[in-house]
Amino acid sequence: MSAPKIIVQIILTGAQIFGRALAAAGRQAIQNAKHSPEAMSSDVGGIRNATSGSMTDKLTREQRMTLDEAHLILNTKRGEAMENIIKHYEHLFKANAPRPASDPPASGPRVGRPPPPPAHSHYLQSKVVRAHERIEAEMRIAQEDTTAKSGAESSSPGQGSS
Amino acid sequence: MTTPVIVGLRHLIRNGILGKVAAEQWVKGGFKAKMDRKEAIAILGLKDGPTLRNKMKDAHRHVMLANHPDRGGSPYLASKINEAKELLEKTDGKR
Repeated sequence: MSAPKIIVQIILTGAQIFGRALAAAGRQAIQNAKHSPEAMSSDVGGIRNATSGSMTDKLTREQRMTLDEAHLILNTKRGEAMENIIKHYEHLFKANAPRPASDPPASGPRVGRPPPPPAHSHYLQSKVVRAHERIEAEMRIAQEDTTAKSGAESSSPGQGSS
Repeated sequence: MTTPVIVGLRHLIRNGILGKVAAEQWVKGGFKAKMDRKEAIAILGLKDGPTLRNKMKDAHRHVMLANHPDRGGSPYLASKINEAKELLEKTDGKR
């Protein structure tokens, strides 16, 4: 009489364990589902989305950097003047360049301690350089586009000022 | 047959004259979608090793000062720097 009872009990505990595991897996799955869209949206380097044949996407794939990320890195906005972008770029490039150990005395205030060559990040400097390259390439495309268009238009006479 | 060679040569010359630095010197591409330990170390300009933990604070301070948003730095880069520091603190704390 007790044997079937034991078997039923074993099956019950087994089912319980299985159910608990299933619930835990479900919770984990929900967490994953919640997490991944956020990770995607924070992924400004959404290079995988650049699948179309447009020139912008082609550049994104080639240089492995989106235009958005390039602008974020240089702290500029889309459509900003190129001079401004170059100014930002040069500033950031210099800020991340390795400083020579012998600092020119022009930067006077910290005379007291000759510090060891301050840490700099070649990696960040690279990103700045690549961001600049990326924006420049985009500008070149835009320019080629407009010159192609204006060239087609200006084939008819009528432009007075040049 | 010679055309690729000529094109390559021209490319080399242009790189040498226009860009003073060889383009290969720079790390390719943008930031990784998800930062890993290696990238974090690179961002802070460190080398992996036993002294990493000691140097991290100083390196973070220097790199952060250079890129501080208040001084014309990029907020995006600053956030990357802080993320790198946090990641290293977290992963190295476990060790």
